[in-house]
Amino acid sequence: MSEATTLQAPPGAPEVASWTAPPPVVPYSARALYDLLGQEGYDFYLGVPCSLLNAFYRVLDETGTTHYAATREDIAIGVAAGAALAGRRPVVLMQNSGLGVATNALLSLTQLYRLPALLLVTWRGESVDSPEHTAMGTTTPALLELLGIPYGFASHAKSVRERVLGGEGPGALLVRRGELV
Amino acid sequence: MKVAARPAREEALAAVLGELSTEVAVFANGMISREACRARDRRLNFYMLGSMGLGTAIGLGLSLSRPSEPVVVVDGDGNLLMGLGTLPMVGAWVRGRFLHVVLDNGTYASTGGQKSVSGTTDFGAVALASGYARAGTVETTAELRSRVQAWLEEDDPSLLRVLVADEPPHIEAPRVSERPERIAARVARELAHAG
Repeated sequence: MSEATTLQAPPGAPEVASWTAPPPVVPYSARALYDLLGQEGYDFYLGVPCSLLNAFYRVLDETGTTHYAATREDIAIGVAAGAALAGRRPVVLMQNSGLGVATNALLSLTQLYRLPALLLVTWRGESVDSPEHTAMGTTTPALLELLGIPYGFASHAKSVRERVLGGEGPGALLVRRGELV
Repeated sequence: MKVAARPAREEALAAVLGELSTEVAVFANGMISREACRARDRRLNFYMLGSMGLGTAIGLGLSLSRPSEPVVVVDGDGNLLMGLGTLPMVGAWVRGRFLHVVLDNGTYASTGGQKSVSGTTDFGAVALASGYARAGTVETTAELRSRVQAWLEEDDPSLLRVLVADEPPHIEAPRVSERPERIAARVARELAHAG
């Protein structure tokens, strides 16, 4: 799988075991991603919106799929844990700012109890963006690595199927601007 | 006028647990989980070890996934205050039986008894304003038992605040010894069998 080549971490990023440069953004059908997640058994949707996820939210609405609005991302992780205990496979939508909010919940709940949860995390601040996104934008992939959360990119979801979508505990798909259409 | 002593936290937990049969129950982290496990361990008890503040959220996920089955959440005041933003979600979506018990001693007892702000917060009013169907406060185990019995039968979410003593127990409850993945697996297995 030649999803990415190993490169130097961008300046300011924390040191992690490996840094892989993201593959180029390839517009990917939100419907195709939704169908793929369905094939993998994901059947419970909730989260905190981000404009980069609008295409995916549209698919949820068009398919009549129930999705719940969470007040905070860590609370969404808690709800996802309860759903997982009841045999569901949850998908939690959030902006990368929410990854910061959800960090302890991901470590001391989802990972600790080995509960499934797929995070659809938008990558604000990946390139030029408003200032509040810059620091988290620089940190996002490294943060996922530090947390031990396997991740890939939404447009390459198929190629990371086993590692990201099928494991015990949380996995994440990063969504960049223009990636889901 | 002499005021009757408030029940100890573990007494209140034993009273709630004594009313449960097939209900899944989520226990807040810290002393609540430890004492619940000592008072009456059951396969349908989910003991939260970390993730403070998320007990209500876990209960909500269980309820949304099995809307016709009852869910019990046993929170503390510190936990509820941390996860207060969950209440509007419960109020918005839960239409089944959802009993949210809050053991309120006004302190963070698991960390040494530092004061919380529960004394100036009307949890019942917050719950009702968030869409819960009913809320109340009890101060004795007899009232607690009868209210749990009655409200376990009622559709739509209920919040029951229990005023408990803030003294530590004579012998501290040990940590929950079951491994976390086992705690989750046994709850999941029971729920899968129940259908």
